[in-house]
Amino acid sequence: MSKLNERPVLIIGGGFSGISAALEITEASSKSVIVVEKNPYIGGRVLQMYKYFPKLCPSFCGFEINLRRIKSADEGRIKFYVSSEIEEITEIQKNSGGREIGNSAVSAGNTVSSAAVDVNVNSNNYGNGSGCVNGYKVKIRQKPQYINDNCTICGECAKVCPENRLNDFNYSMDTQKAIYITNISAYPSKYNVDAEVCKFDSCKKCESACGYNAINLNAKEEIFDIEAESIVVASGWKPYDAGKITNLGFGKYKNVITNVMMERLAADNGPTGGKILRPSDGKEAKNVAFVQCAGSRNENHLPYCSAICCLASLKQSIYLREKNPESSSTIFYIDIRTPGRYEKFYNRASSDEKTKFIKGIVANIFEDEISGDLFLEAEDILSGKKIKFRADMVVLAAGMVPNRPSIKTGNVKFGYDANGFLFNQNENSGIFSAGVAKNPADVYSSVQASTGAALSVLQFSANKRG
Amino acid sequence: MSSNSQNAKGININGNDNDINNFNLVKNIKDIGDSPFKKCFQCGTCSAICPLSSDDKPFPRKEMIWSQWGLKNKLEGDLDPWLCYYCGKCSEFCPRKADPGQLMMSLRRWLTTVYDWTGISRLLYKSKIAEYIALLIVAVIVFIEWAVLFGLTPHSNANISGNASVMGSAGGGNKILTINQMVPAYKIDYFFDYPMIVILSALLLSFIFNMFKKTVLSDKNVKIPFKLYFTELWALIFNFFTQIRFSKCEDEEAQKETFFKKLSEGKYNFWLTHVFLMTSYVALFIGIVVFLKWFQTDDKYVLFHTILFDYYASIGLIFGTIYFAYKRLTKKIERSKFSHHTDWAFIVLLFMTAFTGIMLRAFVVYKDPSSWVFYLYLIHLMIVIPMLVIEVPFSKWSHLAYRPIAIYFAALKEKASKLNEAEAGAGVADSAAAAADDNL
Repeated sequence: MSKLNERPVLIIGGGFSGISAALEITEASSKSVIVVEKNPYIGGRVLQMYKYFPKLCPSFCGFEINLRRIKSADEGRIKFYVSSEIEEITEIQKNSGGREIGNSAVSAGNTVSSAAVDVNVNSNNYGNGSGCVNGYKVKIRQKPQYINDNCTICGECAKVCPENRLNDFNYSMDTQKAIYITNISAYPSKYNVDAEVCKFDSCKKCESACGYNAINLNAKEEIFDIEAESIVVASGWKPYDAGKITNLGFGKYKNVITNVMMERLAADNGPTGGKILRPSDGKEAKNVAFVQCAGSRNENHLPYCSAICCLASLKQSIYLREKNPESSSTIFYIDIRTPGRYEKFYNRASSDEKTKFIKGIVANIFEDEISGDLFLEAEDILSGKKIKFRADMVVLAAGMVPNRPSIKTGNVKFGYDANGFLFNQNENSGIFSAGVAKNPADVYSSVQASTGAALSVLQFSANKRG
Repeated sequence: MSSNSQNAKGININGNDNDINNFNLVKNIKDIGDSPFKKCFQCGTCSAICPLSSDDKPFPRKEMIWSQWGLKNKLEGDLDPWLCYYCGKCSEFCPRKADPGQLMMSLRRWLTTVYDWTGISRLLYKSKIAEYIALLIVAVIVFIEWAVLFGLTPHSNANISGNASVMGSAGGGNKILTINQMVPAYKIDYFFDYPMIVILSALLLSFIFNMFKKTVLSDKNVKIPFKLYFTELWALIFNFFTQIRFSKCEDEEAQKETFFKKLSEGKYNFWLTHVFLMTSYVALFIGIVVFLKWFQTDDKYVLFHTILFDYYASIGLIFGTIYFAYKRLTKKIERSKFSHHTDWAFIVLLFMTAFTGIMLRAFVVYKDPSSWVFYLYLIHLMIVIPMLVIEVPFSKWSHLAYRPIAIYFAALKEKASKLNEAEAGAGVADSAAAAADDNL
């Protein structure tokens, strides 16, 4: 079988995990990959972070390194489809592709029923060509690409655009024009049009403002099929909807925000230019309370530990204190979970004299209507007394919820667990997972999981050829 | 107690006899009200969300860990389960679904068995069958006593009216015997009411003394000045009649609503129905035991206050029992979600007592055949006396006594410790404040 005939690897999700898997696969083999990303840019949640823990370096730094690796890859071996979602995944039947010659009783003259596929899955080995799936046909829907690659991100279009949209990159804390660029590290490096807000034919001011012929508001959505040998699911996560935790007042009180919003407030390219200002009155937030396990480790919300929130809050506490020496930070926790070497990071955060730790989960938050300050009710378990704590702003450590793209999969099985994480139980079908699609993880562990998934992809491919 | 030999196997965690872990405690609590308190991971949501628990000594988190660790002595001296009125917020918000409210309910049952030195209540709480047998035994005793005193067919037992005339009219079949001719009220008093009330009071008082010993006397940290026992007595009386703590279940710091708004929204329905039922019960109990002559009368036009008493109590009992039975059947609110067999026994017996009592009154007033009155009275006694004998000292009824008394004891301890603090020097207070700061 020639390499020219080899199908590419499909990677679902172009976040840090997906990019890492793509790079590891292409750098370690001659395979090519197709990365399907729902956002108009790659990089995912990492780009929305202000800093990574534990080194506290800016998040775009690690991303830029990966971007350079992408740009230095062989032409066409890594293909990105942004603004795209996968509609359907079906298995390619053995006798329809004609690329492989059936060499066993199972495939000979067989129309491969779903029962046969199940047997293969359960046989728990990579097989010798007969035991593995043949590949997947993947239907991709790409949103209209109104801006082409001529775009130089000069920004003339946005200057004339009369419509505004909520900036979802900043978790809707500010607005931007309907023709917009998502973030300073955006790749592909071009503007986007929000089809829900844009007036199209009745406006078209941007088209005439563009000096590079980069805008075509008549662009149409495209649906096309690709073929893939195996699949890496790196569909990532979203923060838990903190509004569901009714006792914590998110959505009801302006100064109750989530940890992901805190990252945007602190980021230099965020809605406040890197100043941690509280949403109600734009005053600098000095006395900030961090509420751990907002949703996580809670049978009424997310029964699992989201693994990163303790470290994220410690990180936020550290940079809050660094940005403003007058500030103070109070962390309400059940247990501080900083496994292994991260214990040092905890020591660093807790050695600060204006950072307090209170063992006891916050059960109630209510607002002082005049000042906009918040009162947090908790039991300080170490002293056994109830406390009422007043804070300028509250940061809820919202947990991670795995994204689960709605894909028609038919008899192709994705082995999700009860919480929606995809474990590597699908070796024989060539479906692997990485990043938070697999389990709650920080960036560091996500990259490791991507490397692992990349190796699995190569092993699968090698065993298949037998 | 038979479990003493097993208790000795407990480990001593800090060399203090008060903190011996009792391995059987978890089992003992689960026996009389299963709840998943072993799931608790001590986050403190329950204590913080509880509208009733105090800031200095909140519950139910500490009860959760004491139960998990088998700290029997700590729990025996704990009054807080009686201060909980099961609003269920702790269970609703518990991130582990460990149901602290249900544990507090189980602990109230368990404490009843702790105060009861006879061991009977433990048996009744543990076994449904034991409770039914106990009720049956008392019913049979009532039956035998009745048979000996009044016979098994309606005939006059009154000494006042001439024997011969009554015998004659009974033969004639038309003359209706009055209730007091068949079953003289003074005999009910002397052979049923008074012995029962003496035995029950003696038992209950001894249990309350036991409770006093375990919760107040054994607490070496507080010494209660003698005068306080009298000055705090109002807390006992006030709480007994108003059950005001019940209403505080609806207190929410975030939403400040007026009393009348909450009332109109029906938030106080449970509390008010409970007060209605309790006052009805108490009114009738006192009425029947002390003033039986007023109620057991053939006169259609009884004294005005008796009617008022009678009607209030009858409506209260019937409405109250149906209301709570409905809540327990629909299971919509936390405090009615789990029903122990003793909860049902109490509601059903109370309803049957009220129902037979009202029927009896109707039979008398509308001059129904004397045999109806005679047998219904027997049935009524065979329900009400077992209910009182079993429920008052050994089972669910006892909370009527333990709850206000626990509030009284808690008030005593709180006041006493405040007085102690005030007596202590300012220097000591400073160091205590510093220690509290360290804890943060």
